[in-house]
Amino acid sequence: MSERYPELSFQAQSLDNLALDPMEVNGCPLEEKDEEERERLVQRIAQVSKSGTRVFSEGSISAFRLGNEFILEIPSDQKDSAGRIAPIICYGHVSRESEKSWPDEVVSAIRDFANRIGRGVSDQAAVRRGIEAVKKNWISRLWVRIKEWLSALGRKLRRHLALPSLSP
Amino acid sequence: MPLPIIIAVVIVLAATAATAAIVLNWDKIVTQLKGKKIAILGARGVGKTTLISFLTTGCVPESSKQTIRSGNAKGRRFSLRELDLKIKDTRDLPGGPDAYAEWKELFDEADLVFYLLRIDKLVESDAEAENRVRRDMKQIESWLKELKDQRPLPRLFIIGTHGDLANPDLTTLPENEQGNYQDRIRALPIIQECVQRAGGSHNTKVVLGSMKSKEETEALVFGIFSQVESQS
Repeated sequence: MSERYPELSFQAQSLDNLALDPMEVNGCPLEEKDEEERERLVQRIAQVSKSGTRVFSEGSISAFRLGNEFILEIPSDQKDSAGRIAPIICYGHVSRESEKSWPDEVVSAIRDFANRIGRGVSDQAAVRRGIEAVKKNWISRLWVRIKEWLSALGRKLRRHLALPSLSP
Repeated sequence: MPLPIIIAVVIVLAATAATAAIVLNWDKIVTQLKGKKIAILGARGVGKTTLISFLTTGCVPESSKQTIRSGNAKGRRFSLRELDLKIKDTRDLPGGPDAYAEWKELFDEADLVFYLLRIDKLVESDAEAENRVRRDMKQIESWLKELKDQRPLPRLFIIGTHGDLANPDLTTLPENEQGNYQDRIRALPIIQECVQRAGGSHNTKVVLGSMKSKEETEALVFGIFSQVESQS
Protein backbone atom coordinates (compact mmCIF):
# COMPACT_ATOMS: atom_id res chain seq x y z
CA MET A 1 0.00 0.00 0.00
CA SER A 2 2.63 2.54 1.01
CA GLU A 3 4.49 1.96 -2.24
CA ARG A 4 1.37 2.21 -4.32
CA TYR A 5 -0.11 5.41 -2.87
CA PRO A 6 2.75 7.51 -1.59
CA GLU A 7 0.95 10.75 -2.39
CA LEU A 8 -1.93 10.15 0.01
CA SER A 9 -2.29 10.81 3.74
CA PHE A 10 -5.08 9.81 6.10
CA GLN A 11 -6.58 10.86 9.37
CA ALA A 12 -9.38 9.49 11.50
CA GLN A 13 -10.55 10.26 15.01
CA SER A 14 -10.44 7.45 17.53
CA LEU A 15 -13.82 5.89 18.26
CA ASP A 16 -13.44 6.28 22.03
CA ASN A 17 -12.43 9.95 21.57
CA LEU A 18 -9.54 9.33 23.94
CA ALA A 19 -6.94 7.25 22.12
CA LEU A 20 -4.47 8.74 19.67
CA ASP A 21 -6.10 9.58 16.34
CA PRO A 22 -4.91 7.20 13.61
CA MET A 23 -2.87 9.04 10.98
CA GLU A 24 -0.77 7.99 8.02
CA VAL A 25 1.49 10.10 5.86
CA ASN A 26 2.88 8.69 2.65
CA GLY A 27 1.89 5.22 3.76
CA CYS A 28 3.64 5.45 7.14
CA PRO A 29 1.63 5.47 10.38
CA LEU A 30 2.32 8.47 12.61
CA GLU A 31 2.87 7.73 16.28
CA GLU A 32 2.49 10.05 19.27
CA LYS A 33 6.17 10.97 19.07
CA ASP A 34 5.70 12.24 15.50
CA GLU A 35 4.12 15.37 16.93
CA GLU A 36 5.38 17.77 14.26
CA GLU A 37 4.28 15.64 11.34
CA ARG A 38 0.90 15.04 12.92
CA GLU A 39 0.36 18.75 13.44
CA ARG A 40 1.55 19.49 9.92
CA LEU A 41 -1.00 17.09 8.46
CA VAL A 42 -3.81 18.53 10.59
CA GLN A 43 -2.82 22.03 9.49
CA ARG A 44 -2.78 21.14 5.81
CA ILE A 45 -6.20 19.51 6.13
CA ALA A 46 -7.46 22.61 7.97
CA GLN A 47 -6.06 24.92 5.30
CA VAL A 48 -7.73 23.05 2.46
CA SER A 49 -10.97 22.89 4.43
CA LYS A 50 -10.85 26.59 5.33
CA SER A 51 -9.60 28.14 2.12
CA GLY A 52 -10.39 25.53 -0.48
CA THR A 53 -13.42 25.13 -2.70
CA ARG A 54 -15.99 22.51 -1.87
CA VAL A 55 -16.16 20.50 -5.07
CA PHE A 56 -18.37 17.66 -3.88
CA SER A 57 -21.02 17.09 -1.26
CA GLU A 58 -23.24 14.04 -1.07
CA GLY A 59 -24.66 12.92 2.23
CA SER A 60 -21.80 12.97 4.69
CA ILE A 61 -19.16 12.78 1.97
CA SER A 62 -17.49 15.98 0.93
CA ALA A 63 -14.44 16.97 -1.09
CA PHE A 64 -12.44 20.20 -1.09
CA ARG A 65 -9.82 21.44 -3.46
CA LEU A 66 -7.11 24.08 -2.90
CA GLY A 67 -4.58 24.40 -5.72
CA ASN A 68 -3.36 20.89 -6.29
CA GLU A 69 -4.23 19.78 -2.76
CA PHE A 70 -7.48 18.03 -1.95
CA ILE A 71 -9.26 16.46 0.98
CA LEU A 72 -12.03 13.95 0.94
CA GLU A 73 -14.10 13.35 4.06
CA ILE A 74 -15.82 10.00 4.13
CA PRO A 75 -18.01 8.57 6.90
CA SER A 76 -16.88 5.16 8.08
CA ASP A 77 -19.46 2.49 8.88
CA GLN A 78 -18.66 2.70 12.60
CA LYS A 79 -19.96 5.21 15.14
CA ASP A 80 -17.93 6.66 17.99
CA SER A 81 -18.61 6.11 21.68
CA ALA A 82 -21.01 9.06 21.65
CA GLY A 83 -22.97 7.58 18.74
CA ARG A 84 -21.58 10.08 16.26
CA ILE A 85 -20.58 9.46 12.65
CA ALA A 86 -16.85 8.78 12.58
CA PRO A 87 -15.36 10.10 9.33
CA ILE A 88 -12.04 9.41 7.69
CA ILE A 89 -10.12 12.13 5.89
CA CYS A 90 -8.01 11.45 2.84
CA TYR A 91 -5.57 14.25 2.01
CA GLY A 92 -3.44 14.37 -1.09
CA HIS A 93 -1.96 16.19 -4.01
CA VAL A 94 -3.40 15.67 -7.42
CA SER A 95 -0.52 14.64 -9.60
CA ARG A 96 -1.64 11.52 -11.43
CA GLU A 97 -5.27 12.44 -11.95
CA SER A 98 -4.91 12.22 -15.71
CA GLU A 99 -4.27 8.50 -15.31
CA LYS A 100 -7.47 6.57 -15.83
CA SER A 101 -6.84 4.31 -12.85
CA TRP A 102 -6.34 7.18 -10.37
CA PRO A 103 -9.90 7.38 -8.92
CA ASP A 104 -10.03 3.62 -8.34
CA GLU A 105 -6.61 3.69 -6.73
CA VAL A 106 -7.66 6.43 -4.32
CA VAL A 107 -10.84 4.51 -3.44
CA SER A 108 -8.73 1.39 -2.80
CA ALA A 109 -6.29 3.35 -0.66
CA ILE A 110 -9.14 4.74 1.46
CA ARG A 111 -10.62 1.28 1.87
CA ASP A 112 -7.21 -0.15 2.84
CA PHE A 113 -6.63 2.57 5.44
CA ALA A 114 -10.13 2.03 6.87
CA ASN A 115 -9.44 -1.70 7.14
CA ARG A 116 -6.09 -1.13 8.84
CA ILE A 117 -7.78 0.88 11.59
CA GLY A 118 -10.68 -1.54 11.94
CA ARG A 119 -13.24 0.47 10.00
CA GLY A 120 -15.28 -0.04 6.90
CA VAL A 121 -16.43 2.26 4.11
CA SER A 122 -19.57 0.90 2.46
CA ASP A 123 -20.49 3.54 -0.06
CA GLN A 124 -17.43 3.29 -2.28
CA ALA A 125 -19.38 4.40 -5.34
CA ALA A 126 -20.05 7.76 -3.69
CA VAL A 127 -16.40 8.01 -2.68
CA ARG A 128 -15.48 7.47 -6.29
CA ARG A 129 -17.84 10.25 -7.38
CA GLY A 130 -16.10 12.51 -4.89
CA ILE A 131 -12.73 11.68 -6.40
CA GLU A 132 -14.10 12.26 -9.89
CA ALA A 133 -15.25 15.71 -8.74
CA VAL A 134 -11.76 16.50 -7.46
CA LYS A 135 -10.34 15.41 -10.80
CA LYS A 136 -12.90 17.31 -12.86
CA ASN A 137 -12.25 20.44 -10.87
CA TRP A 138 -8.55 20.05 -11.53
CA ILE A 139 -9.10 19.74 -15.27
CA SER A 140 -11.35 22.81 -15.41
CA ARG A 141 -8.82 24.83 -13.42
CA LEU A 142 -6.01 23.60 -15.68
CA TRP A 143 -8.02 24.65 -18.73
CA VAL A 144 -8.51 28.13 -17.25
CA ARG A 145 -4.77 28.33 -16.55
CA ILE A 146 -3.94 27.27 -20.13
CA LYS A 147 -6.29 29.90 -21.53
CA GLU A 148 -4.73 32.58 -19.30
CA TRP A 149 -1.25 31.47 -20.35
CA LEU A 150 -2.16 31.51 -24.06
CA SER A 151 -3.73 34.93 -23.68
CA ALA A 152 -0.61 36.32 -21.97
CA LEU A 153 1.57 34.73 -24.63
CA GLY A 154 -0.58 36.30 -27.35
CA ARG A 155 -0.20 39.76 -25.76
CA LYS A 156 3.57 39.35 -25.57
CA LEU A 157 3.77 38.21 -29.17
CA ARG A 158 1.66 41.14 -30.37
CA ARG A 159 3.86 43.56 -28.50
CA HIS A 160 6.98 41.87 -29.84
CA LEU A 161 5.71 41.91 -33.42
CA ALA A 162 4.06 45.32 -32.95
CA LEU A 163 0.71 43.95 -34.11
CA PRO A 164 -2.47 45.87 -33.27
CA SER A 165 -4.49 44.51 -30.37
CA LEU A 166 -7.55 42.49 -31.37
CA SER A 167 -9.50 43.48 -28.33
CA PRO A 168 -11.79 46.54 -28.68
CA MET B 1 -23.74 17.04 49.31
CA PRO B 2 -22.60 14.34 46.88
CA LEU B 3 -21.11 15.73 43.71
CA PRO B 4 -23.64 14.38 41.18
CA ILE B 5 -26.33 16.18 43.10
CA ILE B 6 -24.30 19.34 43.14
CA ILE B 7 -23.95 19.21 39.36
CA ALA B 8 -27.65 18.65 38.96
CA VAL B 9 -28.40 21.60 41.18
CA VAL B 10 -26.19 23.75 39.02
CA ILE B 11 -28.24 22.89 36.00
CA VAL B 12 -31.49 23.56 37.78
CA LEU B 13 -30.10 26.90 38.82
CA ALA B 14 -29.05 27.69 35.26
CA ALA B 15 -32.62 27.03 34.17
CA THR B 16 -33.94 29.18 36.98
CA ALA B 17 -31.56 31.97 36.03
CA ALA B 18 -33.08 31.95 32.59
CA THR B 19 -36.38 33.08 34.03
CA ALA B 20 -34.89 35.49 36.52
CA ALA B 21 -33.56 37.96 34.03
CA ILE B 22 -34.84 40.99 35.89
CA VAL B 23 -31.78 40.97 38.11
CA LEU B 24 -29.45 41.22 35.13
CA ASN B 25 -28.55 44.29 33.17
CA TRP B 26 -29.03 42.93 29.68
CA ASP B 27 -28.26 46.21 27.96
CA LYS B 28 -24.86 46.16 29.57
CA ILE B 29 -24.34 42.52 28.63
CA VAL B 30 -25.33 43.13 25.01
CA THR B 31 -23.00 46.13 24.84
CA GLN B 32 -20.15 44.03 26.19
CA LEU B 33 -20.79 41.21 23.76
CA LYS B 34 -21.28 43.43 20.71
CA GLY B 35 -18.85 42.66 17.90
CA LYS B 36 -16.98 40.13 19.99
CA LYS B 37 -15.42 37.01 18.56
CA ILE B 38 -15.94 33.75 20.38
CA ALA B 39 -13.54 30.81 20.35
CA ILE B 40 -15.00 27.49 21.44
CA LEU B 41 -12.33 25.03 22.51
CA GLY B 42 -12.25 21.70 24.26
CA ALA B 43 -11.35 18.04 23.91
CA ARG B 44 -13.11 15.60 21.61
CA GLY B 45 -16.75 14.89 22.37
CA VAL B 46 -17.33 17.70 24.88
CA GLY B 47 -19.98 19.46 22.79
CA LYS B 48 -18.14 22.17 20.84
CA THR B 49 -20.05 21.55 17.62
CA THR B 50 -23.37 21.39 19.46
CA LEU B 51 -22.73 24.73 21.14
CA ILE B 52 -21.54 26.37 17.91
CA SER B 53 -24.54 24.98 16.09
CA PHE B 54 -26.86 26.40 18.74
CA LEU B 55 -25.21 29.81 18.63
CA THR B 56 -25.20 30.00 14.86
CA THR B 57 -28.48 28.30 13.95
CA GLY B 58 -30.52 28.31 17.15
CA CYS B 59 -30.86 24.53 16.94
CA VAL B 60 -29.24 21.57 18.61
CA PRO B 61 -28.26 19.07 15.91
CA GLU B 62 -30.20 15.80 16.09
CA SER B 63 -27.47 13.70 14.59
CA SER B 64 -23.84 14.56 14.79
CA LYS B 65 -20.47 13.56 13.53
CA GLN B 66 -16.98 13.86 14.89
CA THR B 67 -15.33 17.14 13.92
CA ILE B 68 -12.28 15.82 12.18
CA ARG B 69 -11.48 18.96 10.18
CA SER B 70 -12.11 22.57 11.01
CA GLY B 71 -15.14 24.23 9.49
CA ASN B 72 -16.34 27.78 9.19
CA ALA B 73 -19.34 28.71 11.32
CA LYS B 74 -21.27 31.66 9.94
CA GLY B 75 -22.26 34.23 12.50
CA ARG B 76 -25.86 35.35 12.87
CA ARG B 77 -28.21 37.48 14.91
CA PHE B 78 -28.70 35.57 18.15
CA SER B 79 -31.84 36.00 20.19
CA LEU B 80 -32.45 34.28 23.47
CA ARG B 81 -35.13 35.76 25.68
CA GLU B 82 -33.93 39.27 26.60
CA LEU B 83 -30.66 38.78 24.80
CA ASP B 84 -30.29 39.93 21.20
CA LEU B 85 -26.85 40.16 19.69
CA LYS B 86 -24.85 39.42 16.58
CA ILE B 87 -22.53 36.47 16.82
CA LYS B 88 -19.45 36.93 14.65
CA ASP B 89 -18.16 34.25 12.32
CA THR B 90 -16.07 31.66 14.07
CA ARG B 91 -14.68 28.21 13.40
CA ASP B 92 -15.56 24.76 14.58
CA LEU B 93 -12.28 23.05 15.40
CA PRO B 94 -11.30 19.44 16.03
CA GLY B 95 -10.71 18.55 19.67
CA GLY B 96 -7.57 16.45 19.32
CA PRO B 97 -4.28 17.82 20.71
CA ASP B 98 -2.91 17.69 17.17
CA ALA B 99 -5.12 20.70 16.46
CA TYR B 100 -3.50 22.98 19.07
CA ALA B 101 -2.04 25.19 16.32
CA GLU B 102 -5.56 25.81 15.03
CA TRP B 103 -6.83 26.43 18.54
CA LYS B 104 -4.14 29.03 19.06
CA GLU B 105 -4.95 30.81 15.82
CA LEU B 106 -8.57 31.19 16.91
CA PHE B 107 -7.61 31.96 20.51
CA ASP B 108 -5.39 34.82 19.37
CA GLU B 109 -8.32 36.48 17.57
CA ALA B 110 -10.95 35.85 20.24
CA ASP B 111 -12.50 38.21 22.78
CA LEU B 112 -14.32 35.44 24.59
CA VAL B 113 -12.98 31.92 24.97
CA PHE B 114 -15.34 29.12 25.93
CA TYR B 115 -13.37 26.12 27.12
CA LEU B 116 -15.67 23.12 27.33
CA LEU B 117 -15.02 20.10 29.53
CA ARG B 118 -17.05 17.10 30.55
CA ILE B 119 -18.03 17.77 34.11
CA ASP B 120 -19.42 14.24 34.54
CA LYS B 121 -15.97 12.80 33.87
CA LEU B 122 -14.27 15.22 36.24
CA VAL B 123 -16.76 14.48 39.01
CA GLU B 124 -15.88 10.80 38.56
CA SER B 125 -12.18 11.79 38.84
CA ASP B 126 -11.57 10.21 35.44
CA ALA B 127 -7.78 10.40 35.18
CA GLU B 128 -7.71 10.53 31.40
CA ALA B 129 -10.20 13.40 31.28
CA GLU B 130 -8.29 15.27 34.00
CA ASN B 131 -5.00 14.84 32.18
CA ARG B 132 -6.46 16.13 28.97
CA VAL B 133 -8.00 19.17 30.69
CA ARG B 134 -4.68 19.85 32.42
CA ARG B 135 -2.83 19.62 29.10
CA ASP B 136 -5.28 21.99 27.40
CA MET B 137 -5.16 24.49 30.23
CA LYS B 138 -1.36 24.55 30.16
CA GLN B 139 -1.59 25.51 26.51
CA ILE B 140 -4.16 28.20 27.25
CA GLU B 141 -2.01 29.54 30.08
CA SER B 142 0.99 29.87 27.75
CA TRP B 143 -1.11 31.58 25.07
CA LEU B 144 -2.42 34.06 27.64
CA LYS B 145 1.16 34.87 28.65
CA GLU B 146 2.08 35.47 25.01
CA LEU B 147 -0.87 37.82 24.54
CA LYS B 148 -0.36 39.69 27.79
CA ASP B 149 1.51 42.69 26.39
CA GLN B 150 -0.15 42.71 23.00
CA ARG B 151 -3.84 43.31 23.60
CA PRO B 152 -6.59 42.97 26.23
CA LEU B 153 -6.76 39.34 27.26
CA PRO B 154 -9.76 37.32 26.16
CA ARG B 155 -12.27 36.50 28.86
CA LEU B 156 -12.43 32.85 29.71
CA PHE B 157 -15.42 30.71 30.47
CA ILE B 158 -14.90 27.20 31.72
CA ILE B 159 -18.05 25.41 30.70
CA GLY B 160 -18.86 22.05 32.21
CA THR B 161 -21.06 20.01 29.88
CA HIS B 162 -22.82 16.64 30.21
CA GLY B 163 -24.17 17.57 33.62
CA ASP B 164 -27.16 15.34 32.81
CA LEU B 165 -24.84 12.32 32.81
CA ALA B 166 -23.61 13.21 36.26
CA ASN B 167 -27.17 12.79 37.51
CA PRO B 168 -30.06 11.72 35.29
CA ASP B 169 -32.57 13.00 37.84
CA LEU B 170 -31.16 16.49 37.89
CA THR B 171 -34.33 18.26 36.84
CA THR B 172 -36.30 16.87 39.77
CA LEU B 173 -33.97 18.11 42.47
CA PRO B 174 -35.39 20.57 44.98
CA GLU B 175 -34.40 24.17 44.44
CA ASN B 176 -33.34 24.65 48.03
CA GLU B 177 -30.20 22.63 47.27
CA GLN B 178 -28.97 25.26 44.86
CA GLY B 179 -27.09 27.33 47.40
CA ASN B 180 -23.64 25.82 47.50
CA TYR B 181 -23.39 24.49 43.98
CA GLN B 182 -20.96 26.96 42.47
CA ASP B 183 -18.54 26.85 45.37
CA ARG B 184 -18.60 23.08 45.56
CA ILE B 185 -17.88 22.67 41.88
CA ARG B 186 -15.18 25.30 42.00
CA ALA B 187 -13.69 23.40 44.89
CA LEU B 188 -12.87 20.45 42.65
CA PRO B 189 -9.05 20.56 42.43
CA ILE B 190 -9.07 20.27 38.66
CA ILE B 191 -11.51 23.18 38.29
CA GLN B 192 -9.44 25.28 40.70
CA GLU B 193 -6.38 24.51 38.61
CA CYS B 194 -8.23 25.52 35.43
CA VAL B 195 -9.27 28.85 36.92
CA GLN B 196 -5.78 29.52 38.18
CA ARG B 197 -4.14 28.72 34.85
CA ALA B 198 -6.70 30.88 33.04
CA GLY B 199 -5.66 33.92 35.03
CA GLY B 200 -7.72 33.67 38.19
CA SER B 201 -11.36 34.12 39.05
CA HIS B 202 -11.48 37.78 37.96
CA ASN B 203 -10.91 36.70 34.35
CA THR B 204 -12.55 33.29 34.43
CA LYS B 205 -16.08 32.14 35.08
CA VAL B 206 -17.26 28.60 35.60
CA VAL B 207 -20.64 27.67 34.16
CA LEU B 208 -22.18 24.22 34.25
CA GLY B 209 -25.03 22.56 32.45
CA SER B 210 -26.10 20.19 29.73
CA MET B 211 -26.83 20.29 26.02
CA LYS B 212 -29.03 17.22 25.93
CA SER B 213 -32.02 19.20 24.67
CA LYS B 214 -32.65 22.61 23.19
CA GLU B 215 -34.12 23.85 26.48
CA GLU B 216 -31.08 22.73 28.46
CA THR B 217 -28.74 24.27 25.89
CA GLU B 218 -30.68 27.53 26.09
CA ALA B 219 -30.35 27.50 29.86
CA LEU B 220 -26.63 26.84 29.60
CA VAL B 221 -26.04 29.60 27.06
CA PHE B 222 -28.16 31.97 29.09
CA GLY B 223 -26.06 31.06 32.11
CA ILE B 224 -22.86 31.81 30.19
CA PHE B 225 -23.96 35.17 28.85
CA SER B 226 -25.39 36.26 32.17
CA GLN B 227 -21.90 35.80 33.62
CA VAL B 228 -20.52 38.44 31.26
CA GLU B 229 -21.90 41.23 33.38
CA SER B 230 -20.38 39.92 36.59
CA GLN B 231 -17.05 39.50 34.82
CA SER B 232 -16.74 43.13 33.83
